[in-house]
Amino acid sequence: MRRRVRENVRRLTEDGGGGRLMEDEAARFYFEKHLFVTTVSLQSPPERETERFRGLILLPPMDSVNDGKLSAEGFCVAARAFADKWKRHNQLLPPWSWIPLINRTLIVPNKEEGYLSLEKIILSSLEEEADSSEKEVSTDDTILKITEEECLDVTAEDLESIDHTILVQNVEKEAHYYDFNVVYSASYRVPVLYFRGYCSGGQPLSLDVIKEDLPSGSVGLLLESKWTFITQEEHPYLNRPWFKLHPCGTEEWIKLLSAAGCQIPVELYLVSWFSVVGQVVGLRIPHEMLN
Amino acid sequence: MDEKESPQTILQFAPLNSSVDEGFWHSFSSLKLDKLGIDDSPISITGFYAPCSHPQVSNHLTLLSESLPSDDSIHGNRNKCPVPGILYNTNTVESFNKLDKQSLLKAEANKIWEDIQSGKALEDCALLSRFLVISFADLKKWSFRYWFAFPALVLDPPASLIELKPASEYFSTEEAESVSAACNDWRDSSATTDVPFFLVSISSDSKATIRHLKDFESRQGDDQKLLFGFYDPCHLPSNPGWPLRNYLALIRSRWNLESVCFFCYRESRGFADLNLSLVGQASLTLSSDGSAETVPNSVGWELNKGKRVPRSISLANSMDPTRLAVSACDLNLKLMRWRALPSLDLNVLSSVKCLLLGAGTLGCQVARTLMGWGIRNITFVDYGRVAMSNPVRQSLYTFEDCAGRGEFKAVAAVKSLNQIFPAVESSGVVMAIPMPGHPISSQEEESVLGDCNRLRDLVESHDAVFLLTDTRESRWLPSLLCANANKVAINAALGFDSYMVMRHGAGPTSLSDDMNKKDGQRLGCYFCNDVVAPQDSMTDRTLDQQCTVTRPGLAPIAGALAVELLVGVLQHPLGIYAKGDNSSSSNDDGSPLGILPHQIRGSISQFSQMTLLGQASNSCTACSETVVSEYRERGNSFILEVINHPTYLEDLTGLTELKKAANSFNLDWEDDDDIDDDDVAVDL
Repeated sequence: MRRRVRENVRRLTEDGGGGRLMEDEAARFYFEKHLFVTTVSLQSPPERETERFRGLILLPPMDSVNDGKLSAEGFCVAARAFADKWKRHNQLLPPWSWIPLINRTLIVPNKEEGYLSLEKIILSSLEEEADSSEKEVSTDDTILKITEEECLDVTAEDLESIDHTILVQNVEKEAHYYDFNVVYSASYRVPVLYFRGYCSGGQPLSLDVIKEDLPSGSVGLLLESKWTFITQEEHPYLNRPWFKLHPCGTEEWIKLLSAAGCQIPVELYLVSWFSVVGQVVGLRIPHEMLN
Repeated sequence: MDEKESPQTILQFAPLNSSVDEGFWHSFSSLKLDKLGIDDSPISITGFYAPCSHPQVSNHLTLLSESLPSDDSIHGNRNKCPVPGILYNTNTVESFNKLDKQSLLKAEANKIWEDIQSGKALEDCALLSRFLVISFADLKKWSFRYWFAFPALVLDPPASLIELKPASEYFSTEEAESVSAACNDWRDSSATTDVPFFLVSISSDSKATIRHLKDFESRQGDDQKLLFGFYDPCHLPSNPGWPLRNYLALIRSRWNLESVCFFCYRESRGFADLNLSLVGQASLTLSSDGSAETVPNSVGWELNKGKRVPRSISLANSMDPTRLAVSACDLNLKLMRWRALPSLDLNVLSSVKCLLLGAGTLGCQVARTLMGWGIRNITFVDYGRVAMSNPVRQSLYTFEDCAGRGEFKAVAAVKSLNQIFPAVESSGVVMAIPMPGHPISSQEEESVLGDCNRLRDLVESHDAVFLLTDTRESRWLPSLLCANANKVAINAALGFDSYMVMRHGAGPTSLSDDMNKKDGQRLGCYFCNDVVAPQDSMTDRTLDQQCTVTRPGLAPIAGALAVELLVGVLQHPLGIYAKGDNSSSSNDDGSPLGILPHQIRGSISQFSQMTLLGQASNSCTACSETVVSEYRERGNSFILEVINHPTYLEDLTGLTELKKAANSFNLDWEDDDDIDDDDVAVDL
């Protein structure tokens, strides 16, 4: 299996069109590594098992993914299956929730539409952020400066300084929160990971700060790799700028997975997909999810 | 937690903290701009909170975009228990500072007190956590100043803490199991999941039941233990969170209890976590007269990093349309780099400064295409005004620019670029380019020489110069200046249905460079192939010859090619020294964009296009070493002589001699006399 993956990678690397995508050495290495993990665990489940699974979610049998793309209906199925597996196997993180959307397309009134959301995740361990709160203070010149007098006139008049029932806390280390959304891209026909980071008070984190929170390898890898990069774009449903991992290459590398000898059942599409993209943002999925 | 167990310790509460989602400010900004205007009356809002779900981090009271009033009713869920609040938004920072914070807090505390007295708080217990926000939204800078208050009724004397320990230690194993199960049911039921205050009663056989507060009277008697449970946002093992304060006030006022057993409900991954949850015993001092009339004092303004100051947040990065436009445009280019052109150097493009001589059909097209490539620094030179006939062909202008005498093109073009892309750095210079063969009087001398100096400075302060004027002779001085300063010059010219786009070679003085020694040849400039010096081409011409009458599709084609040619030069490792490729050239010397020709000529009547190569001529009237040295030695007096004496350049460069000798210089372009600027050469 491993050899086959390598050969596929090599083939893709050498041929003209797709080769360009993978020509980068670091990306190739990264890919081989992950493909191995993913494909080994993604061996098609025994037939009966698959059917049972399909029966459970009451859907007609779905085709496997060969071309790396996913239909909108397939996305809903895959999203449910992914969230379900995540809940069962991921003990450390809260579950993903499916955010349904009021249908906006008049053509197919009953078509389901929505996205997956995982909110308020604290990525980096709090102990590590010794002095990040210092940096936060000096954020932006455009913030209204608060003058001394304004602080004083409040203290003078209020009772709170003499209320001993208020616990005086040390200024807490600022935690960084992350929200993740998995949104279906109709134009690329693949899932897209959107994310954003913010401080406890709500101030959004800049990409530079976010990069410090990402796993140490991610940033360099993203810089060099040809399979994705972080960009900022308007969230298709929330209409505010979020960061996202660009979906240009998704189709190609999902294709690579299926070319490696294992057809990906639609239900497992998001699991395989997330096993790669999740690592970029520090969300590893447990091994059991891939079985 | 242990040291708190000694009796007579004052019960201390961990303050609640606020968190305002970016989405709230986005929605609030539109509400303010589209609907409220200067109306600053208080707005009812909804905050959300949930039990603590992380051993190291407390939960916050959060404002989301749905916190603002809307037609849809608010749906709480397990992670979003709705809490009523009120927002006082002021129109100025001064009025924000002048708000009487104590009175505002007191007013909200009174509402809480009234709800306790009336029993409303038993029906809808979220009323106990009522909150208040004051804010000032600076919508020009996308920054917001705000201050939360979580009004708490102060017990006097304060409650004392008898004991406080993790719920898992307080309960027996059976009780713990039953309490967990009951809590999980409560949290899983959509009817109760967002009800943050509740009663936990445990019967003698260790069975726990959870009830609403309003059922307090009905349950009494049959239970062994009664705990006052609430969703605790606080994570500390040593203190209960803020919501307990008004809860105790309610318990004391409604039910007159002296000893209260409270249960701080916290969870992990959506399930009750009794290690994190606390159970505590507090003793309350009952008021002697049971005075419902006197409202207790209240506290609750949120601290900002331990200080009594408002908070502020800047959202310029996600709300400033200019910044958003910049990042969106960058993204497009990055995509191109990532997808098709990995070695594309975007920094070179964003930093290059382009000088556009002429802001007509070609100038407009060139500027637009430059912006498409992420080029941000564009200067226009033009002396004309926008005429009524211009906007339909000159893509930067509109009808409004023609009003009155018409706006100067150099000015209107800059305005237009800023409208298209506000982050562009563009400027316009209204100036005529001095031309050979257009003699000037001595009175004009000073101003013309001033223009020469300005043009020289402009060429020197830019990296690339586009020659886009409508006459041949106006290109002479810029060609000379570019050769002199060794700047990239891109030249585009239109005939009626044919066009020519070329890049000039390096200047003659750069010949000492190793780069050129290797080839020994420079690429030619616009004038290299000519055997006549530029002269007046405008006098004695019919109107259709004077005005550049061309097929409308030409300018966009030629303008786009001119920019692509510049980008090719900028991306080429040899830059201005890159040799001229033709269509059959293999692309080995590494420009990521493919071949880099010297000249492109095309004809719409044939729908054909070809690339050409011409080396620099030693007798060139603009870029030859003779001319450039003469200019360097004599400066403006040389230019004056050129302007005033039509034959001077030809004499200087030896063209006069040459013309007598032969006409072998003619290229194979006899058919192409539509290229207006070549007319003179061809007519020979």
